[in-house]
Amino acid sequence: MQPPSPFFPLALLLVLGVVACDGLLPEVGPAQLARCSNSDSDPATSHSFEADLRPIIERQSAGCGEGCHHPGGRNPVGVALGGLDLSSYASLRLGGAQTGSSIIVTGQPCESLLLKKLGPTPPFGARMPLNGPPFLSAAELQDLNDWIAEGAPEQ
Amino acid sequence: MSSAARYLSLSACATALLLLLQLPNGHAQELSFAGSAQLDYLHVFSNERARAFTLDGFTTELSMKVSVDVNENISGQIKVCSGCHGFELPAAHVDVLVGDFLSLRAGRFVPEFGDFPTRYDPANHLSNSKPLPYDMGRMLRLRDWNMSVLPAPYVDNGLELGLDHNIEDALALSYFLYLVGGLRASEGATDVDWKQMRSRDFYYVDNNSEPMLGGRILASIFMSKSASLRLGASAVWGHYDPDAELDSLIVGADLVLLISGWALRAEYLFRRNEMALGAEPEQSFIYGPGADGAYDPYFLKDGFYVETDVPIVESFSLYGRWDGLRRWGNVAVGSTLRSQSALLRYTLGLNWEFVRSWRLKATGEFYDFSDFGDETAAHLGIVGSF
Repeated sequence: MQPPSPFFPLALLLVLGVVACDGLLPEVGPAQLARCSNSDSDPATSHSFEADLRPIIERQSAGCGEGCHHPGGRNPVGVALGGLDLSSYASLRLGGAQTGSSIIVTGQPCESLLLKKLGPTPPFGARMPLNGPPFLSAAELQDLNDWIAEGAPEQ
Repeated sequence: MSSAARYLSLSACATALLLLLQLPNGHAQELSFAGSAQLDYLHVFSNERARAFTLDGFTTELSMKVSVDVNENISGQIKVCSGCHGFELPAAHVDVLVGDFLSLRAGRFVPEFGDFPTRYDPANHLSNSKPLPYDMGRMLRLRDWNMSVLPAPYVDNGLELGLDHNIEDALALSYFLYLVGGLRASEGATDVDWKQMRSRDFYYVDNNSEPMLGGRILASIFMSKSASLRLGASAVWGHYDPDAELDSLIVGADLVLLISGWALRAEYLFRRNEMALGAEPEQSFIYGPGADGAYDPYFLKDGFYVETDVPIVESFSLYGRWDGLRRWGNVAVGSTLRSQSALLRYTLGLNWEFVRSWRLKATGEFYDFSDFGDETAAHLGIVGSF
């Protein structure tokens, strides 16, 4: 009996790789939701931090007492662990340890990490708010999308 | 696999300990220090707001390494580096050599996978950026793509066994087998969390108490004194979520041809990554179920690069690369990608070694995206090793 060729393991691995991949492309149906868009879905309606974002922050932070992302809160875990202070418009724009100023990219909601972290599949860490569900509704996410698309104004 | 993998890890650790006990005692005989530094500037000509989708401007990468040879059989290495990913510890390991052909590495290291990770340090390659299958943070649209197939350096904790097998003078085979902590993400993930992989909170702990299993085979063919060919194949598999329910399989093949100073390198990487669909996938994913009425719970991502460099005149080298990425499968709400997305990049560069081991790198890059507008970018950098 001939000893196996030294290239046998290499060839076997390549063949197994090709066989495993062939015919296994994932299948999807038609799009049922829209891809992220940087455009304002409702230009006739204006959005602002004070009117749209602050109420959401205050409501969603109820589980943390004064607020997970408020440095003066009773349980400011979001400030301690993520470095993200949402107590003011200015501190929000500074971002957190992971996001930096990319938390909001003015005019480009699809590149803004705030929306990605609030969405169903955040690119890192857990989906926010941490005590969800419930998470933000599709309508609230759309409002945030439009707010950033409008330039993310404070007032 | 879960309990079997844990027993395998325990057995591997016990074997490593027994090997160490068999070796003679020794004190540090030789201590060596090395390092590298690169300052790079990335400018995107085609977009005034590139900051929104890439890390442009200046980036500094530094690395420092201390190696200790305890005796003929035992050595250790610690390496720290800093880059756009923050501080990283890509090496903190002990190497044990048993005979001339068997080696054992234990600690924190870059597992053997592909060719580029062996030269990921900026001082060890002529390009300013990494090939797309291995890019970690310098590609354009890095967040849209969640980076590459396997961002380099992929650093992990575990054990690696190496076996060298010289068939004859013209052929050498190397085999590597390793158990490492593995890729990581949070519960309900749809992709690997590359930030969590580097988070200081998770540096030295496994997220699911289950190792990933990987290996590599490398054939080196020495055709003449000035010509050689290397062929390699690599694979790594394991679960990446805390519940150990979502698996990730990465396979790769690589080729390196060196002829009298001219180099040709090519690699292909492929990742099959399971995704958590959640209770309401119709609310979490952009595309509906397939023809069978079910959501396929995985996506495929692959990438390739072909690059060459050739010395043109004394101390100047020309560099060219063609690389790409593809992704198939459903995408999460909020994604800017489609169910089939692709990216091709064309790179041309020049290196000038103005002092030995110190080079000026300049490259131009053209990005051809399937889902975004084309982009043109350029890098200018200075790199050196000491």
